[in-house]
Amino acid sequence: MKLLPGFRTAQPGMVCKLAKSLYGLKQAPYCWFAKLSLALKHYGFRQSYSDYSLFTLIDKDVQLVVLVYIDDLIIFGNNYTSIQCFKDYLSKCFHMKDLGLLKYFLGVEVA
Amino acid sequence: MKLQDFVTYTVHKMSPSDCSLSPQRKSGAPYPITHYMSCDKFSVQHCRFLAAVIAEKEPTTFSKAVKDGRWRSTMQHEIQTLEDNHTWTVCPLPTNKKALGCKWIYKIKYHSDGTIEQFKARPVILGNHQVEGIDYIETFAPVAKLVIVQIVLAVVAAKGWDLHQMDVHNAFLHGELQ
Repeated sequence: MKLLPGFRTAQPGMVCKLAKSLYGLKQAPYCWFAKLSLALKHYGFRQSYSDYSLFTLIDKDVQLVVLVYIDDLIIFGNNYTSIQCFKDYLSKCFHMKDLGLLKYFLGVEVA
Repeated sequence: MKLQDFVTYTVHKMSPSDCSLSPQRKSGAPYPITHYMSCDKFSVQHCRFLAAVIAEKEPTTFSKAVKDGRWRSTMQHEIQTLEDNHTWTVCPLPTNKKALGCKWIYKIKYHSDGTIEQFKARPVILGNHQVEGIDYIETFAPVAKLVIVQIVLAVVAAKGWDLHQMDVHNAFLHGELQ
């Protein structure tokens, strides 16, 4: 990538080599999803075959499900502490914002 | 121009004598839109909202934006984010390669009452110049189907589970390139 407007270097002809994706790149959505699914699988989640954006984790009597819509995640399960534990794990991986209990998702209001 | 062909409920026509009084007086336009448009029918709140939205203009280029301190500070913040994220390293251009261009995009975000929520500056890469097979192979990312969302909500409601939502900041900046 050429240098951003406003940047200057001592030598002419320098460019930026991208290590991470940036807005506008064609592969940006793909790269993001690859990274997210890797993080989820690392935690023990299995990707569903019927919907690739659905991830499930079954560990003894604990069930956790994550539904992904690009950068929005819905998390639910039958155990409150394991949800909290998983949220802490995610926050360590990415810069997350916890929106608490679900109110709106994709324009659907949840009562 | 035949105004009947357009939605004209906010438009009233001035008499020809009014129009001919001030041809090309201020803006240089022979038929300024203000002669034909009226905001009388809008509510006071909506007029205020319009005024607030029109008052600020989003710059289109970096050279225009640097003159404003507010844009400079958001750009500073954005650059800091990218540098903390180690998005790029500066290096010389390999021979026989072309570098992709990039630019800044500026956006003002408004509250519903027209007050400014934030100034947003974003560096973007001109991905339209990327060549498939060389610069990228896959671009697809799956998203949740709405039916699945409905099923999920139904299951959760039936079982009485807790539903939590999380949002990732700068999601696209996390992706790693090979």
